[in-house]
Amino acid sequence: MTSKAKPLIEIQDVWKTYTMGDNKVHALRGLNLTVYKGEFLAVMGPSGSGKSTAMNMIGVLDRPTTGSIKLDGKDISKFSESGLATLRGKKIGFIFQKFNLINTLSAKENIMLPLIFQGVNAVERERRANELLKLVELEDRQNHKPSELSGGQQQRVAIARALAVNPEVILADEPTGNLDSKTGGTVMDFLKKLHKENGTTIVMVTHDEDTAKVAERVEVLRDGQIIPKSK
Amino acid sequence: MTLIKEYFQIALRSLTRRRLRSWLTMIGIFIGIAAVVSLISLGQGMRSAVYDTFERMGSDKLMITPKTQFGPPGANTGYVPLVESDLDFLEGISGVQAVSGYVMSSARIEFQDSVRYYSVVGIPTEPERLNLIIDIFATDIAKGRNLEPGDTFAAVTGFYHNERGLYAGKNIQLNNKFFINDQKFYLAGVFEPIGSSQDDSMIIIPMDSFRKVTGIEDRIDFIVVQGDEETLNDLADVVTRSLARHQGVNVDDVGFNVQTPEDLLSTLDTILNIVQGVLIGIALISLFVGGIGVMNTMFTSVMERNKEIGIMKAVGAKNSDILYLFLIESGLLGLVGGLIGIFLGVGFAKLVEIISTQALGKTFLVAHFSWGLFLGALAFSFVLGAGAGTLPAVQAAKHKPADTLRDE
Ligand SMILES: Nc1ncnc2c1ncn2[C@@H]1O[C@H](COP(=O)(O)OP(=O)(O)OP(=O)(O)O)[C@@H](O)[C@H]1O
Ligand SMILES: [Mg+2]
Repeated sequence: MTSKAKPLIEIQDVWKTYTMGDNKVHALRGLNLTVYKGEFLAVMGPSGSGKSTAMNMIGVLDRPTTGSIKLDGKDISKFSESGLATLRGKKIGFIFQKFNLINTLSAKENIMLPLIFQGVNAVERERRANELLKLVELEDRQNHKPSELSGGQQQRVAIARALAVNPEVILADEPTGNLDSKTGGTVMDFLKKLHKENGTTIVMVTHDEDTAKVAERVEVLRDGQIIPKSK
Repeated sequence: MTLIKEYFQIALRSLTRRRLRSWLTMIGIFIGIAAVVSLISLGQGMRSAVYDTFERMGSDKLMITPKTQFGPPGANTGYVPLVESDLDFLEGISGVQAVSGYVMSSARIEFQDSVRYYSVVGIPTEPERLNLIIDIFATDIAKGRNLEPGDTFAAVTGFYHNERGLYAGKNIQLNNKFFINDQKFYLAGVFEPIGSSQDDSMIIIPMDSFRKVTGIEDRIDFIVVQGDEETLNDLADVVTRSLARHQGVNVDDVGFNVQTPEDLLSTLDTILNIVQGVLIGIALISLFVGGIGVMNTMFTSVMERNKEIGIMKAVGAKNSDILYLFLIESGLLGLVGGLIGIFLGVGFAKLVEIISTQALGKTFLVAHFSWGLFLGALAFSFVLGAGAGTLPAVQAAKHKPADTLRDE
């Protein structure tokens, strides 16, 4: 990363504490992380280290217990819940380990769903969905329900859905975690291509060293903190 | 809420996915709506049948009836009874155009060795009085003829005696002989069906013969006074006061009621309203239970779909989007339930109409349907469904996406 790159998401001293009865679980303990525009960042770390929690913070899916998060320079604590939803819908595309498609909707309808919540009209939705289906090479599967698709195909639908609104950043939480290495490879190829050709910002959580190599920068989480790099 | 059509599509998808459960949930709604629709349409039909009857009787007539406690006609009530000579007296009041009346009692009817007991009504046979009372009966002769001046032992009956095999399976045919309290009569005519078993098994005979066979002297059970339509209410006052004076009793203690057609109509209306109100109340209870069913289904549905809600929020759904989605879903349950309910209700009302027509031999009860009723029922069922779904929808809207998307 060059120092000229503009920060997209700035996480400063973020704590996330879950209270379960008398127990307090600190999922994040003073996390500091900046995601720059146009970069491909991989986040690694052992299970339970707070990677998914950190992704939820980056994707404004949840609010921190303390600390500040800025998206495009705007402090998200100033946003209402529906304001955050709109922000999320416009700027962020999620890809999950378990695909998380809606089972009652077809591949194409799943891709159009984020556009519906953005109030995009039917013609434009259709056009955009076709474009994305082509991109993920699933034009011939557009009317299939998720249950009628293979894991790799489902994850490609999920990628297309994440791209539907032209988000600023794609957040992928172990996108290949549920796929065999070959299909995982094709999914990674898509992400790589997106980053290269479209300049999409990508933040990806992974367990796998090889997968992480695709990224330009790797950060490691442990006990809710980024481990400082020994230089 | 920009894209309502899409919301309906998404909601419809989740309902059809759980087809069986959706149907079961709707049963409560459509039974209730069916009951309401059929009750209202039949009630309207009954109302207009009553109005029709009154129209035929005419709106220029007062009805005078003895005040009775519960009991048979002529039971001792401590009041001065109405008597046949009252008819003559009333004819003398200015403004009165005609007067008639009848007397009624149960009698022993014997036909071909079979004996039954029915109500026998004695009516005057003087031409003017005869015509007036025939008007009041407001029903036509189906066979033979009506009573005529000069008749003595002639009888006109409801169609039951002629068609229903009341006498050991046998019917009295025109001109057949039969006995009323051991006096021989012959059947001169049969009425068209009227619509109640009491009216349709009535036997009508001349007043003089009635008194002879029953031994009831003087008493009269119903008087009709024909006047001028415009001044009927005034005439009612005059008649009340004059008749009281004639009987020698205080106006406040008279043993009779004078009713105008308006009075009667409003009384009947009140009765109909009460009956209909009670029935619809019961139907509403079933709708309430149906609403609870919708609520229960929606709560279950929200619980099962935590993840789906989380996904939608992750892709930009606001709380209000989720709220609307679930409200539309439960509203649709109500709406479709209502639609089916309307069809069932119409079918049921038509069935009652057909059965009653066959039972009474006459179209008396015609179900009245209106667009207002249908649209009202639809709107009501949608609102009921959405209303019942409000709490579950609010619960769904409040879901924290981070919690539901965890644990992959
Ligand atoms: N909603 C929650 N309630 C309670 N505890 C939670 C919640 N979410 C996360 N945690 C806890 O916070 C810690 C971090 O969880 P997180 O899911 O972020 O880990 P992770 O790094 O993604 O792990 P994995 O690699 O297994 O996915 C864990 O100890 C987890 O149990
Ligand atoms: Mg995780």
